[in-house]
Amino acid sequence: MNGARGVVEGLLDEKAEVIFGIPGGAALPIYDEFHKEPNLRHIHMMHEQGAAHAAEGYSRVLGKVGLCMGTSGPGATNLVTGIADAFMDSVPIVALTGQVPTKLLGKDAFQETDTFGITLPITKHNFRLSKSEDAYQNTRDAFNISLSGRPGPVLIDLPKDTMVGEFELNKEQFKYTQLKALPQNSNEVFSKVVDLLFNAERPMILAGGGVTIANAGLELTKLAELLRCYVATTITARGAIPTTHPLSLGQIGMHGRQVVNHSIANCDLLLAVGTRFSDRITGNLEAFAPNAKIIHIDIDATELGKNVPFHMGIVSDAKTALQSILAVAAQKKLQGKDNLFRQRVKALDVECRCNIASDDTPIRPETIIKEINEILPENAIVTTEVGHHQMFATHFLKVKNPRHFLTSAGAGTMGFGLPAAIGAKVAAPDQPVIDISGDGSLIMVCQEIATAVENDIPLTIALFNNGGYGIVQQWQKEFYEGRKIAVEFGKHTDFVKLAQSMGAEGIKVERPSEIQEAMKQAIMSDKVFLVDIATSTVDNGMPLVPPLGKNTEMLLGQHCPLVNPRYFDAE
Amino acid sequence: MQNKKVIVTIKDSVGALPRIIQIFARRGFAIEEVHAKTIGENKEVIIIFPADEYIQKIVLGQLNKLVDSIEVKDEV
Ligand SMILES: Cc1ncc(C[n+]2csc(CCOP(=O)(O)OP(=O)(O)O)c2C)c(N)n1
Repeated sequence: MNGARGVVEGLLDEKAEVIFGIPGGAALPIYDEFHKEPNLRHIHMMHEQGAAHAAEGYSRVLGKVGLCMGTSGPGATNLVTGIADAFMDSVPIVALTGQVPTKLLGKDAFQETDTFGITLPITKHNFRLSKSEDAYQNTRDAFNISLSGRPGPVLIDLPKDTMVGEFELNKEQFKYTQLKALPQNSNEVFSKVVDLLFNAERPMILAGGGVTIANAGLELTKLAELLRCYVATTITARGAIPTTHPLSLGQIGMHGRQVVNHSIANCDLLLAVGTRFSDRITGNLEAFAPNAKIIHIDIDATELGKNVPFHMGIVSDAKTALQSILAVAAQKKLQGKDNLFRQRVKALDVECRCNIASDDTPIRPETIIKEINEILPENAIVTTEVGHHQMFATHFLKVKNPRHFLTSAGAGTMGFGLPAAIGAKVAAPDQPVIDISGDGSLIMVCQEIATAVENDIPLTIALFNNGGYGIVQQWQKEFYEGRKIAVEFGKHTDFVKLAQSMGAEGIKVERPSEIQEAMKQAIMSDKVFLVDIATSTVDNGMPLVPPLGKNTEMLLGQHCPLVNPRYFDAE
Repeated sequence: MQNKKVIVTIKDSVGALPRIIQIFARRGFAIEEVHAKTIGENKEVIIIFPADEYIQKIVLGQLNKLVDSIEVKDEV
């Protein structure tokens, strides 16, 4: 068989079902194999960035590898943003790229780009095939590497000669290349964690994306209940504990809730699971949980002590660690007690629940989320773009299950949401999928509306249309004395017509009272449907910690009054 | 900062050296000397670099994390 067939055999043996991509000269040998392979569905995207994000959306829903492909040169560079996005959020995707024949490498051949070099720092691992014989092995290894330990993107660059070259495949001899094993932790380690947790007066849990990835939401919730401990979440852990759970406090950090940032600042023990403590989470490090012993659990040893010093560092996946902690606690028959700290957190939580209903027009973004909450089916998967709408969704959207809120966290990639929604819908065809979108983000990837329509992938776009880059405008207001530049546009863009021109449906919504009906209509239509919502630009939607400022010193806004953390001062 | 020395054994495939070097480049960490030789299917790479405790910890961690690294030995 030829190398291209070797790759496809590898994909099939890894149980791959879908690939998102765009063909081109150097990719044609592989595409010809896709053509022969009815068990591998190829979804033709309109831009390679979309292909990578769609693979991410697929993967984020299922926890399986998402697949994408582009040709050499610009096809590969267009994939780069999505690969970088997957790298930042530890999403297992495998990207295949066409490449010019080996003997043309370095000759500046047509559509030659050093894809291997470009993607070296943004992949967990990458390959450039040097001979056809490696096609099957490298493909299967790519899947294994992508999923193992801390997941991440893997790229295979496929020079055209290696794809057309013939070789003999002997599957019987196949073995994955061995990867490094995770260390085992002794029971004493978890016993010590349990002692620290149950002896703390003011414990808090911080859950990160690692909890979502390890499918450890249930364990997290159980531990919180057992300890009677409040849980703060990073954006990638949204839904790991249902946001409606009384112990779920919500978002921490730069755009965190006031109650969360104050509680973390006042805790004496912080159990941090599956988080890398990014700058958006900690703010100024000196003021981050200054009085707390930090127990940091992460599957990636290099995360421990990278950003935040720890009292105890444990290398483990979130599920194993949480299960072990629960087992020890059950053995010791321990149960957390209500106390002053918990009562104070609770009081602050209540005070922090502002009224997000309003009749204002243009409509306030938080009000849109409130209305969406009213009609959102329990099993709906929501994706977001990047900006204010994303932050409001993170604050207010009810997410009851892990892997149901997909957002570009670490990279903050505008244009993630729509293609990710396509991938999500392919992964879960029976669940409604909604992209919460901003006009700035949507226009970056609006061509993927055509992809959804052409491939019959129904989804709803809830467009928070505020005529510009809401969140950037807010930063210009706060940090650059309101000097607006390059943040307002789109007066002449009619998004409904844009959607209709590609065969989708669309309606405009101008009043809060119309949102529920419009969203229901869109979801029920089982079509690609855009709801264009006239949205207000907010001064300050939610608390905002200036970059590297202290998390407890938040800028607030008209609709986000100061809560008083005096409760804690009394101690 | 004092010079530290680390010896990495890494599978000798496309880009083995850039994988190691980019760990330093990305973080703006300096390198004083690099020596590499091929031993069978692997490369042995000796890197001498100025480091405090934090830099050393990061470098060792990242070298260990490379999918292709086989052994990372740290010598003062
Ligand atoms: C690809 C990309 N380019 C630029 C940015 C910087 N940026 C962050 S948010 C934003 C504006 C987002 O506008 P919109 O999607 O309309 O959302 P809004 O804040 O108005 O809700 C920009 C330009 C980014 N995050 N990603």
